[in-house]
Amino acid sequence: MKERKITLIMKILAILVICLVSFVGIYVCKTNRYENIVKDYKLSKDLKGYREIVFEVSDGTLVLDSEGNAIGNTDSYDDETIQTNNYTKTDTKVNKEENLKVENYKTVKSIIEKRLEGLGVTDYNLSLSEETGKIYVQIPENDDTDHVVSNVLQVANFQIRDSEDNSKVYITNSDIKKASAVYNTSTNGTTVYLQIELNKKGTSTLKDISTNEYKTLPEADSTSQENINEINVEATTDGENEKSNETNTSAEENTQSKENSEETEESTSHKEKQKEIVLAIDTNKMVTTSFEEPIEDGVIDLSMGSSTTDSDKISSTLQSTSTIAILLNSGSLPLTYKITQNQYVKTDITESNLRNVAYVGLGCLAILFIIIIIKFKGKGIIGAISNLGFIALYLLLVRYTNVVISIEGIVGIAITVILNYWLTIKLLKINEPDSELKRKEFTKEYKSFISKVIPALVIAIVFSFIAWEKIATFGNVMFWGIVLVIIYNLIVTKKLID
Amino acid sequence: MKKIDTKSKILYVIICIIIIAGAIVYKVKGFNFDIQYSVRNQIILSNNTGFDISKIKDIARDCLSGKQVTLREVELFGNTVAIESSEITEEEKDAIIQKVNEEYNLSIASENVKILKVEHTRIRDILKPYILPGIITLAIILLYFLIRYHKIGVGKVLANGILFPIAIELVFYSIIAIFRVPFGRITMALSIGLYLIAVTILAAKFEKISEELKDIENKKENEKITG
Repeated sequence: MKERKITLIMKILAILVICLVSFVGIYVCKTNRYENIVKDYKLSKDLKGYREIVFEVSDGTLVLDSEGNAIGNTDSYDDETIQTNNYTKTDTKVNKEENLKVENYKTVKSIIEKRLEGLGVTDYNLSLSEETGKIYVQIPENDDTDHVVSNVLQVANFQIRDSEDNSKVYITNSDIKKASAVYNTSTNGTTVYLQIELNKKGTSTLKDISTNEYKTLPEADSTSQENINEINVEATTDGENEKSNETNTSAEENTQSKENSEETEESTSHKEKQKEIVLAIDTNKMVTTSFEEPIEDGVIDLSMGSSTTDSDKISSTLQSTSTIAILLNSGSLPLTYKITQNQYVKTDITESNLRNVAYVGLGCLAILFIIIIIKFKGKGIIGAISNLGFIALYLLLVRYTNVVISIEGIVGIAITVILNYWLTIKLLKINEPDSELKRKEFTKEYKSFISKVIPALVIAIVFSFIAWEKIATFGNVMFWGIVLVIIYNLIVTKKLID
Repeated sequence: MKKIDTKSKILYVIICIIIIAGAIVYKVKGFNFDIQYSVRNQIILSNNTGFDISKIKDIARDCLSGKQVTLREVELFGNTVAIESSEITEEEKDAIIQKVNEEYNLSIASENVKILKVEHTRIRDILKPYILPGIITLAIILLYFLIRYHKIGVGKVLANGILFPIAIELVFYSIIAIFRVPFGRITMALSIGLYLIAVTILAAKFEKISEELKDIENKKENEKITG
């Protein structure tokens, strides 16, 4: 009897230690001040802060380079840059007056949503002014936020057109079935490709132009080994630096391509005979080329940079190529937008708000514990201590499994605590004096509880795999909660009550 | 038995009335959106030394009397604040700036502070991310219910499995619409919480019925054996 009492006291003491660690922390002296070494909670954008961005329809005018090619607009080039680079500011607005309509604003909104999702923004809030086209966005702040902000507004106007005559456009965004970033590893290293798969119409057009007009002429072929459908380009996606990419040539891949701006005078003689196409995204001419062989499958593989074994370079090329693919897949923006506000904003939910929520929670818990103690007397006290231990352990688990806490997560924590309380009451109700009957009753209650929480577990698991952060946090919190309720009561509560 | 049926009928009628009333209120007046989802005006003030948020909040509340005000720190240095309210007029903006200038001995020019109008977030945009996970989980749960509790009756399990969680959600949104409870960040959190509670209650109900059926079967078998 005495031994059992000592064991019980030891167990209660262990629970109290867990409570202390979870609710208060472990403080150690580090550089003359005490720091809590227990992991802190990871908070979501609702509880921490977010990036607030305002997109407005651009009222800029076109800027041309010295050769008369459009290179951007006055939003991206200031007067000084225009003067020093011999660029020309035109009066042509980037957004025509007739295009400033609600349908286009809505299309832009829908494309931005697709791009945010594609770029891995897992929780955003977006609103559109149908009068002005102004878009207000809130996105979580993390390492990728600047990359997202700088790319989400790229027009991504994809074109395969004649290199001389800009009006001859053969393939546009509407001809793209799917764009993706793929890679191939050979003995020379890894090469990242932007693979553009065209739809039926695009495939037929590409087959037609690669067979007839833009087929590499024999003379041209003898001087330069012309490419087929594998083209080598440099991968850059940073929307902040909208510039023409330099085109590399790669003899190993039996491909060759030329940047329009870097075309040598030597090739001018061939150009007279050889017709070439330009593959461009916005003002960025990615490649100028002709076709050695017809492309019949409608798949264009653009190698983004040369083969490399540098893993950092591979991963950065893969990221920028994926971004281009996401932009192409989402479609081109019918209007050009500019960023007029881009700032990090802290949440309006203050620490004192959260403290108040915690106090309300504690108050509710106190009431629940009083009820359980009144109802079950001595066993009720044990049940209350067990519940307290569960909450402490659960909050530690949530921190050490890196679960992000959002408002949904807080609701999930509250539900889990209620589930645990419910099971404790069920277990406390078992009042069989015979140990065998008690064990059977316990097993029955436990099985019944598990059957009842299986739907909740299904929700928790499915929600955990949803990309939307608020839903995922709820799923994660619930999943760990239900698992802990099942294990904790089997190991701790049952033993304490026994 | 008859009494329970009458009680249930009354409950169903009440639920229907709440849902219909909620739908009418929603159609006529919509939800009472919280400031972060509704049309609002925003002004941003900054200085070099930093602001005391509570003081600025008092000033904003004073100048925007009767309107809901939200104050948030902008960037990490504590010297910029964003004041949001359902409406900030030019006069109110001037009054806020004047008071802030007096309080902090600043000279923020009114013409340098723009009023930004932020449009409301559409209800379908708020709900959109929750629809697919909701449908997937409901389908899996229904399948589980059908496998485990098929003895209760496929029709009954299906009807309860679909209608109960939906009814709970509709009642929740109807109450929010009827009583003009602000539709804010916590609304969706409570909504998914309620969904989880609803299916757990339903599972508990089915489990109870299933156990009762088992007891009846056992009794019948015992009766057969004894005689």
